[in-house]
Amino acid sequence: MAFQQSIKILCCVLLAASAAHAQVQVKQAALPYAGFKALEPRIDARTMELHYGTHYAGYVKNLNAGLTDATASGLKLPATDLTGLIRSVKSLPAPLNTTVRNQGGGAWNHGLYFKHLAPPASPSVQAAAISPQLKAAITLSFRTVENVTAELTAAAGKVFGSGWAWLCYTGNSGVPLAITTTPNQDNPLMGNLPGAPAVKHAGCTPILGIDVWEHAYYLKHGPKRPEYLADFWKVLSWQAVSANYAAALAGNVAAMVA
Amino acid sequence: MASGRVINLARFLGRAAEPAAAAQSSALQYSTVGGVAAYKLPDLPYDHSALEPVISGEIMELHHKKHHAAYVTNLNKALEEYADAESNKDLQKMISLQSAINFNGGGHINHDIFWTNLCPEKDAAPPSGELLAAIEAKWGSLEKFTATFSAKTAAVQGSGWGWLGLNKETKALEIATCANQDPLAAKGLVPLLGIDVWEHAYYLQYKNVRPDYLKAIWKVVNWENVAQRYKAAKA
Repeated sequence: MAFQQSIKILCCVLLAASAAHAQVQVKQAALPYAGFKALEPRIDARTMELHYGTHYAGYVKNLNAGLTDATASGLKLPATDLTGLIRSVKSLPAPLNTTVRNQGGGAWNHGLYFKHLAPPASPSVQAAAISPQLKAAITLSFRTVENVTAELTAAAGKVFGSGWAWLCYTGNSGVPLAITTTPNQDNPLMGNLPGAPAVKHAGCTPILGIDVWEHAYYLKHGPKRPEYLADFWKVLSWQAVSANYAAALAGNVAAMVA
Repeated sequence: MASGRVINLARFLGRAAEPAAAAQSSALQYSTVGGVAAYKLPDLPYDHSALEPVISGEIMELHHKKHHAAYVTNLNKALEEYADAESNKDLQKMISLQSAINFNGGGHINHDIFWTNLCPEKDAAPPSGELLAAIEAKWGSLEKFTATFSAKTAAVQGSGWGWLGLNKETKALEIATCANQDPLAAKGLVPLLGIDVWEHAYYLQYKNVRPDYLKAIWKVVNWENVAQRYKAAKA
């Protein structure tokens, strides 16, 4: 009897141990439109194919490899989802912190980006698709939609080198939205990172992201980033951004990138 | 109203290694028109298509006539505004212009060096003499040097450069990487050979396969130019 009890206890302990070391792996978000040609003529199919199929895929692959190495070495991860890992990047040991920052950041940022685009003919890219909730937040923070798109465009144009421009939820009910930029694949959820320049509104939750790495536009536009930015607004889904805003308010940030 | 004074670009860049920075930026061409100093876009020492098939003519044209040209234009604009601010004793404005001067000044310095570091494949010869001896002493062989350089440069996150530089104090060769257009001089190294890994340097041809670009570019490195820079740096 005691022997059988011991076996049961041993099995429970082993199951618990293996659950603690269960693999945390991240997946690419599926495109919510019909393939790489869907955003033509604004974003060309070849860019979509490379950007989604190689750049974004590469970030996910490299992140997963880093996570596998970390858990194999016995590290207990502070979170089991991408957003949780991004938020806790500062607390991670090397080399996982660098992997989560660069590869995890790339995975998170591109998930948000690809999911909030839509074909140029889709009604969701029209301003009319902005939810009343988001409209109210825009009014409080920027007065008009024209203002927020103009300021975001300006911020995106000023990023030097590789990086992103963001419209973020600040958590401040008086001024709920703010614009910020981050270099490389950093993102405001990471907070202020040691050795990196301070991020305006660090810790805020992005609901809209503009990729200004050259790979996002170089095949079609060469060095002309302003022309890419004009194209971007024609395929930006305000419906998706509205959903992101609702998710941010509800504390369900992970849904934006999955 | 521009003051017409020549502004030493080195003042703003690489304060930690001003002599090294000054030596580099003094080689940049500028003209003075109506009392206003303006940096000039240098001509390439070869045709835009001369580095084919390693670097396409399309990339070279865009890189030289758009990207580098924009750095020069924006640098001159920032310097003119800086001169105005200085004569108006507007310190806040002067401070706010620093990043534009760093970005565009660094971009101009770096690309000015880059074009001379390259040459058509038929004119390229491997390093020899003192430079080769120094490379072999430090890395064991030219192959090990290029492999190490390529690996470190491929690992640059986002936009930046890989460099072979000379440490002015130790007189030793070093490999270093810099982000964006940060000048190498800020690390206390004299730039000898720089490889641009901003995506615009290779994307149209190599797409995201930066390691392929880094493998190929060694075919068009002008080691004679690197050797000249090495000799001047050691002096």
